[in-house]
Amino acid sequence: MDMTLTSPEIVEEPLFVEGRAGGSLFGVLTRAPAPRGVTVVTLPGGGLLGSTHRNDLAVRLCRRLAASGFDAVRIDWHGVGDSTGFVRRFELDEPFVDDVLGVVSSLHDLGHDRIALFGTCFGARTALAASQSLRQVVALFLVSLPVASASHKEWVNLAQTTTVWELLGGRLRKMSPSMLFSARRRRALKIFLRTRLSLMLHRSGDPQGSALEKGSGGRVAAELAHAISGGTEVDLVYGDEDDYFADFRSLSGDRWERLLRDDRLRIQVIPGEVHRFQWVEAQEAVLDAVQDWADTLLTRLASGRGGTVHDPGGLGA
Amino acid sequence: MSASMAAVRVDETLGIRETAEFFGPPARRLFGFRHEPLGEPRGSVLVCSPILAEYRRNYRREFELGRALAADGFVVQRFHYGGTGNSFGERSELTLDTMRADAFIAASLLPERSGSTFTAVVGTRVGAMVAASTVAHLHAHGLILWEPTLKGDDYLRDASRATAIRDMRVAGTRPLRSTAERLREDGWIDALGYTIHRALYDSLRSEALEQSLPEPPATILLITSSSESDRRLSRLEIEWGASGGSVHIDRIDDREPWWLASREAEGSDDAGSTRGIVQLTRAWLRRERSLAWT
Repeated sequence: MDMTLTSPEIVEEPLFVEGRAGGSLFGVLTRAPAPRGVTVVTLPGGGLLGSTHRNDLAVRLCRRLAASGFDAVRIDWHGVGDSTGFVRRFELDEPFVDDVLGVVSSLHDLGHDRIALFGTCFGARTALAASQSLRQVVALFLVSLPVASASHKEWVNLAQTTTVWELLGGRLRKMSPSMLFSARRRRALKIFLRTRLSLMLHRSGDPQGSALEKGSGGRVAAELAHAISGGTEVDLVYGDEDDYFADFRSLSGDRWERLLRDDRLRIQVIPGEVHRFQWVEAQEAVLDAVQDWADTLLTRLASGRGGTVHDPGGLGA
Repeated sequence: MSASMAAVRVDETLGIRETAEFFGPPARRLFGFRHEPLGEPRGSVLVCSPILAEYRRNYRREFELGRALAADGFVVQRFHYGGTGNSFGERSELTLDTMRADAFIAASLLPERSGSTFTAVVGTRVGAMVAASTVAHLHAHGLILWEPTLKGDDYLRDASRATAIRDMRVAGTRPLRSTAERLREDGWIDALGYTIHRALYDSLRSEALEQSLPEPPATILLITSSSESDRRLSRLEIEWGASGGSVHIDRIDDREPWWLASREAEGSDDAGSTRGIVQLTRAWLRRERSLAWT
C-alpha cells in the first residue's frame, strides 16, 4: 500500500477560486512534470470531507495522476474546509454545480481547457450535473454515483407501505398549509403519489426500480445519455456491497436499458463496499481503477469512442 | 487568477487576509493556512490539529476560529502535519515527535515575537499533546485545549472501537485479524479507513498529556464535554493548579462522535458545537490578552 505523499518532482500550488455563487473556494493544483493536456478535477463527497478526502485519498490520487501526466485539482466545496461560505445540508438532488463551474472557469484562465471530472458520491452527482453545461469536460470518472436522493427513496419506501388515507391521517396532519408551498414538500408528495399509482397499475415487476427511474434516476439517466452523446468518456465505479449499487441495479425502464447497452459507458464493479471509503482496501482499489483509466484515457479520447463493461460483480444487462 | 506557491485572499468585511502556502525545507514541505488582520496584529496563535478521522471532524471549526481570531487582531497559523493532509512526507513516519517538529516549523511563520506580543497555542484531541509541547518553545502566554486526549491509549481505543463496529457488519464474510496481528504482518492498521502505521501507534501508546505540559503550566483553557465526575480531569486541574498554573475548564453539552460521525449530509452548520467552542475560545483569549497587558 502506497501512502507516499512525498514526490520531490511534483509541484503543488494552492488556489483561491471565485465561486459562481459568490465566496471563495479553496483548492490545490498539482502540476504534472510532463503534462499531457487533460486536467482532472477531483470532487469530494458530501459532508465535512474536504478536498483531501478520507485518509487523504484525493491527495494521493492527484499526485498519482500528476505522475502519469495529468494536472489535477482538488477543491473544497463552499462552506467546507478552507472555502468561505456556509452550507446547511448536502442534498443529492441539489448538487453544487456552481462550485464546479467556478473552478472550471478559473482553470480556463490558467490555460486548462480539457477537463476530466472525478467525483465520489455527492461529488459524482455534482460532476455529472455540471458536465451538462461544460463543453470542456471530456471525461467523467464517477464513483458510487447516487441515482436517487435519500429523501426520494424514503418517499418511495413510504409509498410502498402506506396508503394515501394513512398518509393524510398521519404525516400530512402534522404539516401546516404553508409547508405545502415548499418546493421540496411538493416534490416529495409527487414522488409518493406517482409511486402509489405505479403500484396500482403494475401488479408485477419492480415498482421501486420503476419509481426510481421515473424520479431522480430518470434525471441521472438523461444526464448520462447527454454526456455520452456529446462525446464525453464516462466511467462508473461501484462496490458490489454499496447501497448506491443496489439502487443502480434496481433501475428499470427502456432508458436505462438502452444506456446499459451503450459501450461508450464503462461500468466497473469492485468487490466490497466502496461508498464512504471506510476500508483502505477500497481506497486502493479505486486508486488502481483510476490509474487504469488514466493510462487509456488519451487513447480513448483520440479514437473518439470505445469502452467495455468490466463486471466481475455480475451487473449484467 | 494565477497559481503560485502561495495564494492570498482578502476579506474586507472581516478585515482579514488569508494565505495558503507550502513552506518548510524542500525535503519536508508542509502545508499551512494563515489568517491575519489587515491592520497591526495584537497577538499570535498557533493551531495544532487532531489527526485522521478527528482531523476531518474538527477542520471547519479551526477554519472558523482562525477567521474569528484574525478579526480580533490575532495572526493565526494552521498547518497540516507531514505525511497528512496537503503536506508532503511519508505517513509511515508520522509520530508525535514529528508532529511536534512540524509545529515548531509552522510557528516560525508567525510574526517575529517581541515581549509585547501575546501568544497562545490551541490543540485539539491528540493535537493537545503537540500544542502543550510548543508552549515553552513559543514562550506562549496561553494554552487552549479542545477535548484533549489525555492518554495516547485513549485515542487508540476509540479508533479500535469504531473499527470494530465497522467490522461487525462484515463478520463472517471477511477474515478479521487482531490489531497486533495486523501490525505484525502489515506494519499498519486500517482504522475505519484511516491508516495508523506502527510508528504512530507506538508513539501514542507511550504518551500522556501531562508529560507534554511545560513547567510551570501556562494559563490553560480546557473545553470538554466530559462530565464533572471525570476524575482524571479533576486530578489534572488540581495538579496544574498546585504547580502554579491557572486552569479554567469550560464544559459543553455536545458529546462529539469523533470517529463515528457519519452525518454525510451535514453541512457547516454544526451550530451548537462549532459556534460554542469558537466563542468560548475567542472570549477567553481576548480576556487573557487584556490581562497580560494590565
